[in-house]
Amino acid sequence: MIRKILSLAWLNAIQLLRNPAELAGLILLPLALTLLFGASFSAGQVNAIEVLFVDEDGGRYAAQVGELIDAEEAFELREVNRTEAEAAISAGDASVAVLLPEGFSEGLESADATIELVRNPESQNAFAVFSVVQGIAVRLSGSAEAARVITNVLPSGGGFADVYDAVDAKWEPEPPISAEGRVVSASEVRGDSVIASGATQSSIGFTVWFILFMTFGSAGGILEEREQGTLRRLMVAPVSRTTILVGKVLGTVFAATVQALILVLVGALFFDVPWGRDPLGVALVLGAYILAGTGLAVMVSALVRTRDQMSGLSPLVSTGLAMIGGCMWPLEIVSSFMQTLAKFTPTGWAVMGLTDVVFRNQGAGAAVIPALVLVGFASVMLGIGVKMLKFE
Amino acid sequence: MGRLWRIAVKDLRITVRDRGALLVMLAMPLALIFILGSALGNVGEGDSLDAEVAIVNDDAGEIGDRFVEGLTSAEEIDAVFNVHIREDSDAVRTEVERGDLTAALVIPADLTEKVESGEPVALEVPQDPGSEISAGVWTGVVRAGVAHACAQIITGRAIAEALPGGGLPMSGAGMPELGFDSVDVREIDIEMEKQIPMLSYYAAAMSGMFLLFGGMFGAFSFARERREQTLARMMATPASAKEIVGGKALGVAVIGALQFLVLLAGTSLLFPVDWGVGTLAVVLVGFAEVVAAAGFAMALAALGKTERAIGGIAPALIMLFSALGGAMIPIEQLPSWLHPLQVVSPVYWTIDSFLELMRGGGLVDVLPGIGAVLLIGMVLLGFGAWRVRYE
Repeated sequence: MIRKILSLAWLNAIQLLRNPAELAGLILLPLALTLLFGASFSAGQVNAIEVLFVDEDGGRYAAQVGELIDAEEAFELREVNRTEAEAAISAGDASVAVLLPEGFSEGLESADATIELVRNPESQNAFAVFSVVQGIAVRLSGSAEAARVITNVLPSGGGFADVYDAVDAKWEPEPPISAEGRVVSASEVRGDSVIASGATQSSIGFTVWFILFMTFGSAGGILEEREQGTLRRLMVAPVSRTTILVGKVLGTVFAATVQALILVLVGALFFDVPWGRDPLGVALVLGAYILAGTGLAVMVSALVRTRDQMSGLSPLVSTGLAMIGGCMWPLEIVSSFMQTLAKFTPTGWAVMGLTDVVFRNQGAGAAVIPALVLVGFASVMLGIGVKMLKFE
Repeated sequence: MGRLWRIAVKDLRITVRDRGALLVMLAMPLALIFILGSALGNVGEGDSLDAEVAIVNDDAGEIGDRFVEGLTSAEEIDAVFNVHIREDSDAVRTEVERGDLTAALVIPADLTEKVESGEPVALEVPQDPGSEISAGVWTGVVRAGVAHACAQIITGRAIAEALPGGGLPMSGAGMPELGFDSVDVREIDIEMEKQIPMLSYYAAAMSGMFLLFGGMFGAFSFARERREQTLARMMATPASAKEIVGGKALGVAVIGALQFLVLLAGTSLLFPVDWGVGTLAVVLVGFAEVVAAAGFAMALAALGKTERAIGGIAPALIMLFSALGGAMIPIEQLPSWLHPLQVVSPVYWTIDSFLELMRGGGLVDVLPGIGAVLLIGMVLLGFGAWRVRYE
């Protein structure tokens, strides 16, 4: 029986190998997609946020604000004028500008200075810049306040600027208290991170989404064989219905696995997507997910009557599940109802499992429950599919 | 033209007969927008974040207490975070690692002591890698608090050094009462040309993407007719190959156009998607994408011999076009060397045109986009007509 199943699966593979277009689709397209996603994700990690800087004051304290912002690793300062800054933000080309109006330096001495933060109200980056600028404003305020108090009491102790410099120098090389933002995952700590990129997680999401498309494309072949009558012919051979189906399912699993491997390996080797943290955990979750995806595709193939219905349904089902499961945006931003709903989808469990294994580095142990749930999904859906699938 | 139209009508009739498929095809984009609306409906309207964070204060002195008070008393912080006060820092770190907590603040035992002795000291802000957005916001909040504390300490020290026994008013923690508001940070929200809500962005993106799936559907129909030999029979009629390909493509385009109209009406009536003022322009952009989908269908039929082959290639190509076009990752995030490649993606031009219209642009602004999509459609159709086999 095993031999028959394997030869049926092998038949699938041969059909695939004989068809250059399909083979190209199987190998080249995932490669191109990985290249695209990989390049965007690794670029997203190093890209600093561009902060537009408008210095209308020209004084020494305005310049200090610019230097302090520029010293932040996550920001890249670009000097422009007010009109350019406003135009760039309103056109959506930049998210935030720090503006030092004329009289800023004088105002600091008389405790009446303003930093304008011109921003796109919906940008996530603007908040990050705001908290940094607020910190800088407090630093300048404190040094100015000290300078005022001291020069008032001791007029002979030097001018405002000298005392200000002396006080401000106490912030360097290290301020008395600092906050170290650390992205923690078990047994390692990755650098200092201030700004949320949100992008790394998407590499997982798109892989999960893409695999679903693949299983649908591949399992749809069953409908084609039914329409061609080759399924019926197979029934004449001394093989059982179950053997044929298992063979077909294995064929789909095989094709999807090859594609998933390409996506993961190329992403890990060339684009630093941290897939390699725990290969066993990744394999557990992805393997179980491929089974679940195949089960889903076989079930949908069994429920529809025609290939056209299938081709209408497959993008709906795969994209819908991708959205609910958190493949397209992080689940942390959706309502708690939608977060709960994600737990009823295979995509949701795959994303949760991979997030735990790949990003939180929780080890293969964290993969067990998601993998079991996914296998559960797979057996229920495959069961329904196999029961309902008509051979002719 | 008569034959072309008749072939298209025949294809349409076949589609209409399969009511299940028709329903799925027309309702599909709407169902997706519905999911989209439920998922993203409340995002961006006020504080959608509701993150669990914890503070562990191991500090024996007063500075730690002041941090805790500052972070737990502000309403703005309370609106976004559920702040828990905890005792065990190791347990909190583990919870952050597991993702049960979004982020935390661990105040070390020697904070006050080190500050008093003039040694630098660091607060630890563990962040969950799985919740980058809310963890990043929390870090920003903590940093603002830290900056304030530093300013107090440094100012106090500087004054104490310069004016020993200066008789300044002291606060409870032995710090002089000083103001830190010499510099005011004024936030100015710029009037965006027109801000596009996330729901509308995805409505544009998904429309651009989904119309291409109509192309996959058309390619399947072509492959089936080829397999069933009805295509060969059609070749025996006086209809030319061009007319057959054209007629099939027209059939795909008509169904796609219907899909788009359902999508447009549905998203405008059921969901608050604002497609802009120029309805005609929106329809034209959608129809141009439909033409591209028809060309795509014929190119797919030429590339893949069987339906299974098409089922393997089409989704990947559509995803590639969509990813390049900004339907998945915002375009700014793509590396710059990829930007020149975007011009080959019909999805790119379609999304770009839809967004332009949503921002208040008019027909004239999107004409280049429409032209580009039509050109891509024609190139694909030409390739299909050239390479496709009829039996």
